Amino acid sequence: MDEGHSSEPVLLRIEHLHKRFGTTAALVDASLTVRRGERVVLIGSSGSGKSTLLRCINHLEVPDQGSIWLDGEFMGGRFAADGRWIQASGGELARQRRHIGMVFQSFNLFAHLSALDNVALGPQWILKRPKALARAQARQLLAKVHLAGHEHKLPAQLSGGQQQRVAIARALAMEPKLMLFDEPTSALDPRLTREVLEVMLELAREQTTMLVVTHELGFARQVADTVGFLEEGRIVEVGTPEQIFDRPQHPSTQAFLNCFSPGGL
Amino acid sequence: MEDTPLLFAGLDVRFMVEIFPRMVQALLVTVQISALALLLGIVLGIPLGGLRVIGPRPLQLLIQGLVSYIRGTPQILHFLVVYFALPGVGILLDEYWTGVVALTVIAVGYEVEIVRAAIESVHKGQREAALAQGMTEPMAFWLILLPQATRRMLPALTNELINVIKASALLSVIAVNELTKVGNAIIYNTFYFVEVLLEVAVLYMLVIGALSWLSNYLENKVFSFGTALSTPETR
Repeated sequence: MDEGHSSEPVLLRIEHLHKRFGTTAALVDASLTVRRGERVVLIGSSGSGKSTLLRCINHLEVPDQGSIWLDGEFMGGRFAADGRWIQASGGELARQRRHIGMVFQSFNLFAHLSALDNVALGPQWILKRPKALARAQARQLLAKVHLAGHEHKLPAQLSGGQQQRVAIARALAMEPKLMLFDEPTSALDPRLTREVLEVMLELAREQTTMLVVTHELGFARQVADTVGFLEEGRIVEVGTPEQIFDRPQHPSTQAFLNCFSPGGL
Repeated sequence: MEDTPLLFAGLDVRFMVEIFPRMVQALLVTVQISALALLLGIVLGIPLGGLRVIGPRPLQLLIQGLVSYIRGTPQILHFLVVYFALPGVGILLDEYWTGVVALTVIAVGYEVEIVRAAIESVHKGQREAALAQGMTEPMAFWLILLPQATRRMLPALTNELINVIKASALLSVIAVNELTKVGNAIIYNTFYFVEVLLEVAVLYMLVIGALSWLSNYLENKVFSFGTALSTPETR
């Protein structure tokens, strides 16, 4: 499914990102580029910094150093004419985050709202769309993630796979330029994982720009234009799925992938 | 013409019945002032409790200081401060409203903490999801955190109403005609100590007992609601 995105304009540019938690270096000099319509999958062991990288992109974590541009706009603040750094206000940051959809490992659906309201709330309150329109669009999005008929259920009444699909619809409702998936299936059993991956495959076919952190290597191989391997906060290798999975260059990538090979135990 | 006393266990029952309407009226004043103070406390306590959690750091410290002052000093001090200090800065209130304001001060001190605890008990992923979607902190507070926290607040707020009702007895020192004051007045006129105090105690207990029951009921109800709502990642 790779048509090559090298000619597409860059949507997300991450340069020399550093992030520490106390004495632990979560990200070390991470740089990554995502083009419009490109599907990038990040793999690596737990604790390798994949999630931190995603959370830095929308400033749920504030990076210590480095820069993030989304569609040419500097995330989290800007430089004044005299070169001084000006931190974005809460309102500015909120406006920037609208363009980035995020799907969490633990779904994080709004627990007090129905599936429909979970999806409609953002467009209605953040994008100030009329309520009827927001709800009609939410209905369509729920149908798109194969949840027609579940509109009025509370999150607690849905299975994990259903909750995650509502979460995907909720993120899509904001019509983001970029979708971030932070281990979206790690909390799900294989059958529910499949439901969610199918929806993500459909999004990938529609040329949604996606940055996915996952341990589902089959999905990565099938969907990704680009795969990045992280270890100890560093992006050690980036390439096409063929390069990474069939001819990994870096010893760490080789060791990591060996854990998945048949008869590896 | 004097009625012959109707005695039961040494108590003048006829007298107790006779003063009952005045006592109930005074009880209503007590409940009214307390409920008013609780409501004003909620109106102030929710934004203050919210700012205590998500506000700028200096404001958080200021609110924390205010709460420490209110909770760390005797309640009667707040009545005296409101009674003597407010007129000093040109605010003249009658006894009734002095009582309401003083009780509100007491209620706010505790309600800020109730709101804070309830907000902080909402799973942190809820706030992150709201912010990631593009909500500002105040939007996330009003649309996502507060509606979920409210359920957890209800039992604690009912308990707080009980505390406020008990604190309202202190209003007798500034001559508000609430239950304790009216009871005292009747004692000074008639010297029926035991009858009056017994009746005062029973009336307080009835109201507070009913509220305790309500608090327990809400707690059980809310608890079952809470388990259905919390920790989505475990299912």
